[in-house]
Amino acid sequence: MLKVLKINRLIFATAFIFAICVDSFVYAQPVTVSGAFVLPPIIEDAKQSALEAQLACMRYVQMNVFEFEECINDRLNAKNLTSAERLGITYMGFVGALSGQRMGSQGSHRMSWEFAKKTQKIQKKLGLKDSDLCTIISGDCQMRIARAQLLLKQPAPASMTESDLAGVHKH
Amino acid sequence: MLNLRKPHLISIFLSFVLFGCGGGSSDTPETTQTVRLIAMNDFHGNIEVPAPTNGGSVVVKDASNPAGVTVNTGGASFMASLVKKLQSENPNNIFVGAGDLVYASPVTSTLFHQEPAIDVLNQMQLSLSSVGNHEFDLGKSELLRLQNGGCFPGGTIGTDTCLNNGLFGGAKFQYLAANVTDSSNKTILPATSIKDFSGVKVGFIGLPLKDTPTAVLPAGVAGLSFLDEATTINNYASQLRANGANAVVVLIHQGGATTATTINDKSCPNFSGDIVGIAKALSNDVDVVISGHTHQEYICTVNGKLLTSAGFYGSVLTSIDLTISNKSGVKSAVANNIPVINDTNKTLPAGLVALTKDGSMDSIVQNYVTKAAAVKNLTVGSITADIKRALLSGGGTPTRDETAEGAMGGVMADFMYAGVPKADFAITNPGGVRDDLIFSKANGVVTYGDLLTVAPFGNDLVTVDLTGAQIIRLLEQQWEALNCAAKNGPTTLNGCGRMLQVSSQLSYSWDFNQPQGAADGKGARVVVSSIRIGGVPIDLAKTYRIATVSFLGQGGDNFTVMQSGKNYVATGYKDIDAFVAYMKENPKLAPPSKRITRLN
Repeated sequence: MLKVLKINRLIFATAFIFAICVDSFVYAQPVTVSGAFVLPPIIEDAKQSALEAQLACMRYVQMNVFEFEECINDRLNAKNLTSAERLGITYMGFVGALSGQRMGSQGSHRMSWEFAKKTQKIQKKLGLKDSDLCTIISGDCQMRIARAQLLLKQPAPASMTESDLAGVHKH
Repeated sequence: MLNLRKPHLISIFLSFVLFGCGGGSSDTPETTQTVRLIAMNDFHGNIEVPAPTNGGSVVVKDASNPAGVTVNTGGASFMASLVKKLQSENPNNIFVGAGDLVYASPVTSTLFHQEPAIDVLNQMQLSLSSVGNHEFDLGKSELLRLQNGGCFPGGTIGTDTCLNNGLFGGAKFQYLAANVTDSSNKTILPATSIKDFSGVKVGFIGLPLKDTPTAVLPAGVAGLSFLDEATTINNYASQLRANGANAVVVLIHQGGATTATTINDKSCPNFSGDIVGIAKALSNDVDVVISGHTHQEYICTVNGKLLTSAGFYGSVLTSIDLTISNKSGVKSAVANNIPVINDTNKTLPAGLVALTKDGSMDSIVQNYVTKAAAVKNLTVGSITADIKRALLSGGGTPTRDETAEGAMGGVMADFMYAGVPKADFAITNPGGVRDDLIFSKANGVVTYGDLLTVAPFGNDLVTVDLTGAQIIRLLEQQWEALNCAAKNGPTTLNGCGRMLQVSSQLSYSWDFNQPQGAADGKGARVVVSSIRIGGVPIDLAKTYRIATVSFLGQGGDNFTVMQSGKNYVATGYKDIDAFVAYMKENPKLAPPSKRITRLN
């Protein structure tokens, strides 16, 4: 049984590394040094801050995204953040909101729009392309790019009104 | 058909990792069966179609649209159709749940003490489910009533409980609670179940999260212990194997989240959450973990175990095909999250079709909807005089004046304060006060339906922590630019703005001579020295806990200061339930006194 377990772990680890390499190759266009993939420092820093934001905040994505949003904003309010770190947190906010939107979670449309805007602002400041963001957080990045482009064309979602909730429950 | 990513790879991979975990004796001939598990979680009594903006939609891939497409989903009549379809494809099937099937539910289930939700799930032939934290909302005895049947204590038979021939038979499915023990160290419900599928045996273990006591009111779990999940599962999985199970499936009300953008993304990106640690600690006796609680959907593999979840409100079902040998256990596992596509979509991506309503289920649902209408006539309290909103006078039907304080708004804030433990005061948005209570309508008698017309939204009660300084900003937002633009009253009255309706614990004055419509953050109409909370002057540095409805707690109606508050907590209580309780506790309710004073 132990042998089977070790083989399992090997297969899993190999598949995992392969998936990361494919993502990196397709989306990040990283430079290579001595055959190893190396991410630009800005992306590396953003990736780290996104990971920390994910570990701290994704647990709050449940039913609605409001607690998740609060957690992300708390991290953005920290002092002395670099632009790269701010990018990572903001992008995590965007990706988390999209994740909520895939299940129709309350508030996720507004949050994804707001964080798409915020991400775009920092991205422009840092001179990064859409595809540069892909390695910050793994997932279906082409879909994310398409959704961001769609959102950025739309006007700001209205502040919630009574009618947003009127159809929630049938009386 | 959904565009599945790497299904063959997943299947081959799982074949590898799951191989060799089987039980079975050496002297019986080998039998291999494909068993279909149909799984759901976090239904929360959503027997009707949920709103697309609140759990009633999913984003799916679409070959012609790189951004994917949002599809409307959910509704028991449609879910029943999908369950039947999945069942018809393989006679070796079982429909299972992972908890929170009831409570925190829409009014049609709430009015009848969750009996409609249980009835609907019975009709869909749900077989097993773990309990979730919400199953404990009204305590162990009520959970056991939902399991075993009987009328709601204090209810009226035929009106709000035991609606079908004066009886409620309880769940035909079995709730499992492997880690919930009473003072005698016995589980309050069965821990496991073994099912035989044409010669292969599948063992099921069901349990809620061990942190359930932190998610429900203490009274609901008094005298109960919630044990460590992984330790409990491993103990029972070992027993199930010893009892001949060829596969072990865990139904657990605990979960995680991915950063996927569309449903059924089997790459399972960035999977995290409390379930990960639990899954990593599970022994090789366990093959599949069906999870819930986080209202997410995912199909992942952790520690060699297939780990799934199906979102919430009956929007998605997970279909898991396990090929199981009675000699070598699980040989392969293929899982898909399938949307319950209802008939409210105008268009659908190529390859997707809407389900047709299941006729018999639809009759059941509509029966409860009709009966809910009758319950609205139940007496819940009484008043001594009209309790009205602030109203604009003039010709025709009077309309509410959102720029002013009204008695009805004060009552609403009062019931929110009463319905939430440990709040300092309560507020509600004036637009949420939808009607008046009129004495002459029934000589002061107030019905459930009357309260529903006043508070029709089914909002959750929440608490948010704000500092004294933030509370002042919140009050200033009543008259700042956005709310002034949104609500323009006559200048002969209060001018523009949205006036928050406040409970009796908060009082203050504001100066009409100070400018209205100031830029966000620049308003200065509140007389700070006048603010009292619980009769004590406000402390700018102190943190206060505010009870309100989820709409306002999340910054609705431009009260964005609420978004900068801390410790947003959804209490799990509906505003209407707190309103009913308040009216029952305060018979002959009189219009409350004013809490807000206008200067000049």
